[in-house]
Amino acid sequence: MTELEQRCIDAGLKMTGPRKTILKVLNNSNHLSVEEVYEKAKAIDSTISIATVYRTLSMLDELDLVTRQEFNETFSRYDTNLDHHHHLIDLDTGKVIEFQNEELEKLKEKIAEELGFELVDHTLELYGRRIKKKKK
Amino acid sequence: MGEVVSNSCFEVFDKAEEPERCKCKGIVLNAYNNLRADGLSEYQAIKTVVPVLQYHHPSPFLEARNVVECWVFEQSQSAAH
Repeated sequence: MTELEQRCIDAGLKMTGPRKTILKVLNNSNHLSVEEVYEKAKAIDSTISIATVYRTLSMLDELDLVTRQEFNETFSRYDTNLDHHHHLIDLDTGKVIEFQNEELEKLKEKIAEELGFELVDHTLELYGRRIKKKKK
Repeated sequence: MGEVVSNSCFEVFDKAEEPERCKCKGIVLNAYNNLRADGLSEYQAIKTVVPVLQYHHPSPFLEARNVVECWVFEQSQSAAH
């Protein structure tokens, strides 16, 4: 059982077959539109209707288990709210280091609050080069 | 015979002398593949790695993004065949 499924159960959601399929799709991809979730879910379970996808995503949004993002498009995209982390990209190799930093999260919320906003979402990517130790 | 139209990324990206022989292509695609493996969508991964290319070859974002999209497409075609 995935963490997302467990959290749905903890929130009182009944894990029906279609819902499990939709959660599986969300776990495997980011920034999916409703139509994209529907297409991927239908490929796994042909009985899933788009109405089921809409209802499930709305429920997950209300339970704060997914985030609905409004990109510069006419529709929304959904991301799971699990395992929030950022990326540090090594400019010399392309290696991607995932990291989490509680101080950073608090700082971002503090900045938003000082500007009079409640932080809803953010993206942050770091790009760096390894510090080379000087030879003695 | 009509004019041959080249669609290579080298034609699109004229800020570097030989971008496809430069190590930057491997670095950019490595970062892209790592981000995709982490669950980012193609759109988000491309958007994230464009600054990597820009670091190695300073250029406008749109131009660099075109090259990254081209490399990603080429990679997918190579994988398919």
